[in-house]
Amino acid sequence: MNIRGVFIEDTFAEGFSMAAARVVITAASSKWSRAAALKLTGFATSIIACKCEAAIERELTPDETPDGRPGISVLLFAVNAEGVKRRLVERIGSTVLTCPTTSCFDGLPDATDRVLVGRALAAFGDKFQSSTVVGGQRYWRVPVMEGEFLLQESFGVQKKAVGGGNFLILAEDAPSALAAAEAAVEVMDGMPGIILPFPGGVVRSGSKVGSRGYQSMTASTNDSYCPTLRLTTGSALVEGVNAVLEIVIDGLDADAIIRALRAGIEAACRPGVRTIAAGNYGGNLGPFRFPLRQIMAGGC
Amino acid sequence: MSGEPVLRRGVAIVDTFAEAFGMRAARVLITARSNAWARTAAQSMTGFATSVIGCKVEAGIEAELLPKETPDGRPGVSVLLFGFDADGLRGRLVDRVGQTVLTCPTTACFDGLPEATERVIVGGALRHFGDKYQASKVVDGQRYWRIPVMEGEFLVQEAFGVQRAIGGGNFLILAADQDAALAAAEAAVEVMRKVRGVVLPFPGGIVRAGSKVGAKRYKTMIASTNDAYCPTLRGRTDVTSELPEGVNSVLEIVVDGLDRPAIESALRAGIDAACRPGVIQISAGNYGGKLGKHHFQLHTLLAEASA
Repeated sequence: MNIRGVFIEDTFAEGFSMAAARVVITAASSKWSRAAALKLTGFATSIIACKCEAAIERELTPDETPDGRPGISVLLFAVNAEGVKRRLVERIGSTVLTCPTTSCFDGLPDATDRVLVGRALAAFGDKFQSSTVVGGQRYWRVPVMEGEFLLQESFGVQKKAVGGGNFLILAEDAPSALAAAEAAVEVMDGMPGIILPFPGGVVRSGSKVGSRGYQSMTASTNDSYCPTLRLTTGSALVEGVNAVLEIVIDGLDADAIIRALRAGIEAACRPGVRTIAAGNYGGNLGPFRFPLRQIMAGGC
Repeated sequence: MSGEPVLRRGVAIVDTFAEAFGMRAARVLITARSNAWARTAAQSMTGFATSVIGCKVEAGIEAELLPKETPDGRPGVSVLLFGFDADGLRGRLVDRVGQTVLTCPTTACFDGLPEATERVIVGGALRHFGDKYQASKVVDGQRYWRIPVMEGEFLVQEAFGVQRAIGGGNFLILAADQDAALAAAEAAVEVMRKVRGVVLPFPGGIVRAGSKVGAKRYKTMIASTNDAYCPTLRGRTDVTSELPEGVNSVLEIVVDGLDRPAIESALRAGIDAACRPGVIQISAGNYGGKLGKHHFQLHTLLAEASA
C-alpha cells in the first residue's frame, strides 16, 4: 500500500487497556485555563515513570463549558480508576486549586464509574468549604485567598480507554521526519477523545522491552530503529531511511484512536518520508491491535 | 508586623517579611533546532512541579536563551529545579530529563551550573537507555553522552551542578477586587520573569491558594487554606481575619532563586510593579521566622530600591 509515494507497512500498532478521566478547567480567560492545564499535564509522558499520561485534549469555547467561561479539556490516563483518582487529587491540588480564577469540572458526565476527587480536595478548605447539589451533581466551594475554588465532587472514569496507539514515520533525514510529525500533530491536535502525551506530541526515543546490555533496565533504546546503529545491530531500517519519529496516542476508546491514526498518517505522508510503520510486541502484550492498512483503507 | 507601613503609589507596604527556606537547585539547559522545541520540552519538564511537598520538586522556566548563550550554539531554554537535597534533585533530574527531554525531537541537554562543585550524575544514568550502544566524549573536562535514538542521537552531559538555593520567597497582593489583584499579579510576573536566577513555579507564576501549616479541623492535613487571608471567611466568629476593610481578593507570588540577591531583585521588581490602582496592601507570608532561615524584609528591599 502506498499513499502519495509513502509505503504503508503491513503491520499494526499494539494498544493497552487504561482508565481515563476528562478534566474541564474554566477560567476568567483562556490564558489562565491554559496555564493551569499546562502545569497539570507536565511530566506525564509515560505511565511507568510519571504514574499517568496526560495532555490537553482541546480548547473549549464558553458555550461548551459548564459555567459559560472559556475553558480547556485535559485527558488523564492511568492503569485503573484508583490510579486516576490519586493522580487527579495530587495534580488538580497542585496546579488548578492554586491557579487564579479557575474552576474544575468532570468532563465525562455519562461515565457510571466515578471517583471522589472534589471531596478529597475540598478538605483543603479546613471545614470552611461548603457544597451545593445542582442537577444531581455535588459541587464544592473551597475558600481561597482570591475568593473561592469551585470544583465538582466526582469525576467519571472511562474504563475502556486505550493507551499506546502509535505510528512510526521513517524518513530520509531528520528535517523530513520532523516536518511530517509536525504535520501529523497539527491535524490530530484537538481531535475529540485523544491526546498525544509526549512533548509536542512527538517521540524520538522509541524503546524495546528490556535491555541486552543491562539486566536491571525494563526498557531501552529500540536499536533496530536507530539509524546510527544500522551497521552494528539487526536494523529494521531500509536503505535511505536516516531518521524515525513516533507519534503516541492515548484515547477514550479504540474508535477515537483509529480516527486519529487515519488523520495523522494521512498528513504524515509527505515528501522525504519513505515508510509509515507502527510499534508492537507481536500482539503479546496489549489487547488492542490497530492494523495500519485496514485503517487507511477506511476499514476497522 | 511591627512598624508603620510605607506607601508606594498609594499602596501600603506592610512592615513584615517573607520567610524562605534553604533548598538545593540545578539549572538545566535544553537546546533544540528551534526555540519552539526547546520550550516544548521545558514546559513538559516543569509541569506538576509547583510545590516540593506535593510534586517532589519545584521547577520553572528561567529564561529563553539565544544561540550565542548555549553550549552548542542553538536556541535554548534554561530551567531551574529545586529540591530538598542533592540526592532528591538527582532523582528528579533523571526522571524528568528522561521523560521529557530524551524523548523530545532535536533536543540536547546541558548543565547550567558549571561552577558548582557539588555534582550529580544525570547523563551518566540516562545513558543506560542506550543499551551499551551509547558513546561518550570528554570535552574540557566534562563528559558528554551520545545516546542513539530513532531520530539520531540524544546528547546529554554526564554530570549536573547542584548549589545551595532558596525556596519560598513570596509576597501577597491584597486588592479591592479579583480583577485588580489579578492585574497587579500579572504585572509583577511580567517583570519578575526577566530576572535571571529565579523561577515562579506556580501556573502563570501566581498562587491563589495560600496555606497555613496544618489544619484546625482535620488532624491529618499537613496544610490547609490560610483562612485569615480568605475574603469569603471574613466576619465569621471562628476566623481571625488578617484582611483590612476593603480588601476582597488576595494573590501571592512565590519565587525560588539560586541565591539571595536573585530573590531580592525579583521581589523588588515584582512588588514595585504590583503597586497599581485597586491594590490596597502588599504583605508577605511567614511563620514568625521559626521555620525558614531566610527572611526578606519588605521595607528593606524597597529602601534599597530607592537608594
